[in-house]
Amino acid sequence: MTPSSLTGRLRRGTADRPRLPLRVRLRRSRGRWLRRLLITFVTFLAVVCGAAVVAYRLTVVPEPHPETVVQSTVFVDAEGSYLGRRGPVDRQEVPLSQVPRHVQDAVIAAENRSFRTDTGVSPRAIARAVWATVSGGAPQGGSTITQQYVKNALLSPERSLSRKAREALIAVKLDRTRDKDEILEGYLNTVYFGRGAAGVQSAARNYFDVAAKDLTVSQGAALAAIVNIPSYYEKAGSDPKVTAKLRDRWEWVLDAMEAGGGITRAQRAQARFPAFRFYPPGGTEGQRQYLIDVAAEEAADRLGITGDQLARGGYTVHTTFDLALQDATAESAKEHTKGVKGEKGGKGSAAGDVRVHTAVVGIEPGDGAVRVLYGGADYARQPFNDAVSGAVEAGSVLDPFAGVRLGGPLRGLGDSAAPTPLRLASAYAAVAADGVHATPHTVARITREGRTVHTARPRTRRVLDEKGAHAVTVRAAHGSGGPSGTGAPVVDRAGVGGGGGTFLTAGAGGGITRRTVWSVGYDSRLTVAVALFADRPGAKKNTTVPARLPNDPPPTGYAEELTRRVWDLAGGS
Amino acid sequence: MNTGTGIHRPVVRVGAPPRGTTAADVTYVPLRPVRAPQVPGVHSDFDGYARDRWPRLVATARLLTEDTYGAEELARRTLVRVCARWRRIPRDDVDFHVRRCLVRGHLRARRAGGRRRAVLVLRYWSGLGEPEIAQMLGCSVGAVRALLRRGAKEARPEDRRAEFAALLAGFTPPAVPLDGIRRDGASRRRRRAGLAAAGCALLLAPPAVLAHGPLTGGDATGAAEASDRQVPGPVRVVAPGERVAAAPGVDVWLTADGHHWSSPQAPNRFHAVSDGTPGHGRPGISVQGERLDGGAYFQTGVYYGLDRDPARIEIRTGGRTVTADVLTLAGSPGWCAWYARTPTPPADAAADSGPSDGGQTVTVYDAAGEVLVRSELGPAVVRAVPAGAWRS
Repeated sequence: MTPSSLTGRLRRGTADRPRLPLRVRLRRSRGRWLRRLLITFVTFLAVVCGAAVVAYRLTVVPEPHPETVVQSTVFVDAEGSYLGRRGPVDRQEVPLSQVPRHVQDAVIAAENRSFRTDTGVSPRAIARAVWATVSGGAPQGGSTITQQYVKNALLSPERSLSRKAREALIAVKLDRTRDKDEILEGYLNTVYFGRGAAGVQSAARNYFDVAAKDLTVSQGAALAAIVNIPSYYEKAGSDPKVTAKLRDRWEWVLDAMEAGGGITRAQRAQARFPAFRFYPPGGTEGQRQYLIDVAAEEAADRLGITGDQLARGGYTVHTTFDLALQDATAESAKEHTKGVKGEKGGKGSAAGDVRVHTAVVGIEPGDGAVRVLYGGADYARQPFNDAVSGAVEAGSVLDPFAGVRLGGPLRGLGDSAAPTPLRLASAYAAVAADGVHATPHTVARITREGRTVHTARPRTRRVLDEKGAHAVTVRAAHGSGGPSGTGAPVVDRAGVGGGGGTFLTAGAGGGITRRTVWSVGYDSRLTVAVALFADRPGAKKNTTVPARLPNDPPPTGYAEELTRRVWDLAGGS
Repeated sequence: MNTGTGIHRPVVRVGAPPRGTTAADVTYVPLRPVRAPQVPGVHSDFDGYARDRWPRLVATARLLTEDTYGAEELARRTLVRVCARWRRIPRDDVDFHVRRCLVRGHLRARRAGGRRRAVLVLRYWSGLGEPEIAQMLGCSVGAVRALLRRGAKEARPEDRRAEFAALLAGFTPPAVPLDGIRRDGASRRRRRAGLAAAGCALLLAPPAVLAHGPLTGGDATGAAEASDRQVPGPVRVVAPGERVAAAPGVDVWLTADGHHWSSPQAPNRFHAVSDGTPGHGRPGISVQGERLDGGAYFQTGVYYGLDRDPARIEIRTGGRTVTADVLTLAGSPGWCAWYARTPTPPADAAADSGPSDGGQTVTVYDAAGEVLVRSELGPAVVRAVPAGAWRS
């Protein structure tokens, strides 16, 4: 180094050459600092973006949560009226094609208007939600339908920021890999609508007692309005305050639908706030469970699955029952039971504990479809179905079959002392069908998500020839020709109720020791069998022993009247 | 010899410029940054500065570019830039900024090797310190030292100074093209202002739109017209067979066939609606009633033949109006059932006969408040029928 450069270096920073003021130095190097800051920022941004991309690549769209795959199985009667359901959750899946377009539009208008166009996450909605939170407005959700679907159906219900991020990632991925309609279908089938109902099908059932495909514009908009706070709006209808609030939101949803082009101005003007079912709903007769029990067992058997699998499988079981007829039968039976009790209470005798059992079976001859099956007054008190599993002493009711050889499923009926009402009814149905026996069945059709998975075919078999059937009918109509072992009354009722049918009343025991009463009526379209018997508590707890039937009112008269009533209600001629 | 050493003295106008010294024996004279005297016009301020600094600016540029014509062009462009942003150049640090502008302009024009040359020129001809050079180039002091060291390997600083002096020997700076500089400076300033405005607009527009959207087009919950709409009566959808506890001990339920009700006095009463489809038969109302234990009167009935959904049913009896509860099956089958508890029995009628002779009317309104049907006395009253009797 040269001396001058050396001295130059030494002199720097001395009194001769003071350091510049900090302000000036900062100003001079401002550009450099800014550049550094920019580079840092860009690097940070790149790292974040890279992390997001990597996270997106690593994200796997999870399988639907096990709880949201479970569906309930619904039972409906021959007319399609709702009978009841089986299963841990009230949810049934429907294809999107069975959800009316206006219902889809209503849900989109209420929850996520940009659903058809957004990418699964809506920054605008998030910004709006943040703004609402910051500015103290009403809290709004920033979730799209896709995000809600991911949250409800795919992830476990925990609340954390990382889950929120994961949810957004999955939502974006889902949106890129799946169709919008597919996402909407999944959403509509899993979203909670209150009243214990998840999915639009169950919600339509619980709020309006219709299937999802029959929802009107007003009803669809109301359901869409409910999704916001289901636990609050589920009391719609019964609670005037809730109803008024829901009505406001319903108007808002409809306005949004009109603005979005989902409905026309005329539709908007015509829309009337719908009426709701109440929650909890009113009770029904304790009859449905008997029917569901029988139908569920049969349906599971037909499909070759267990009862549990059936209950979780989301099937719709179309039963053969006629619900109106069933209800009327139950009403008639209830009237009589009340009468008996009143009489007993008045007497206060030893027979006070005697319970009269009524079993009614109505079968379509030649087909085997069970239309009525009354096996007990109240399922909660007596889950045992008298009509299906109760062995009722036959007595003279089998006398018309004396001397006739029965084959096939009815083999041995003539010798059995106590057939079930269902079996006896099927025997007389075979007679009504000129000797062709059809196995009684309660399931007509089983569908799942709109597709039929099972259709019942009548399982018929000739069990006696036509001559034999005719002989039985003649004997039934004109009193049993065979030996009447117990001396039970055989009442000829041919021609009662407008003619056409064959009626017979028989039973075991007679006079004051009457034990059972049977009343059967049949023609080629319907066979009705009524069985009456009684029991009283046994010596041990939870056991019963047979008892004689109370004589007032006369059991035979009651049985005949019940048969006739069911016959008339069913439109029998 | 005219050298450019004076350029690093910020207060030329105040202190006397040490003319006539050579670059080799320049000693740095520390001068306090002094605020420039307030000159009324910006232009005259800039004019004076430009005229004063022009020769040395060209000389520095000449050393940097090693090209006479390029040096003048570089100096001119530098002054254009300086003129454009003259107002924002700190007055106590004008020389630094002008020189940085010059160096940057030079480096922008030719990149390779330019940096090293610039460091050498600034160090040995302008006599700036290493930190200042670092600030000027926007790099670290270490980088400047490295460049100087590399330069010192090629030639000693004394030789370097001599080389610079030799290069500038006989160099006469041209006249200042002041008018052109001012004109270009003004146009450049305008252009930059326009660009800045456009950039700000672009930057601010999306957030403005975003903030504006949700506030106006957002989710104002509507339903302001609550006042003029008709208050609907309680209408309830029921499933077939669903029991409704209408009054103590009284159940009402509907089936597809019709309307049932049971009370302590009669277990199951039934009114059949065999044909409820609109268009079949004229609309009508049935009324049945029964005295309850508490002295109140329970009334129920069916109306049928409707082509519109009813919204409200009112019973006017004894000068009082009672709104009835309406039950309907899903799917609006064209008929509905209603029930109500009226406080006073309208007449001392028998329990099972309708209270029609008490001067009461039952009116059904639709959602718009229009009367759908009003009960006529007498013929509309249907007596209770036992279950099943309608079928036979």
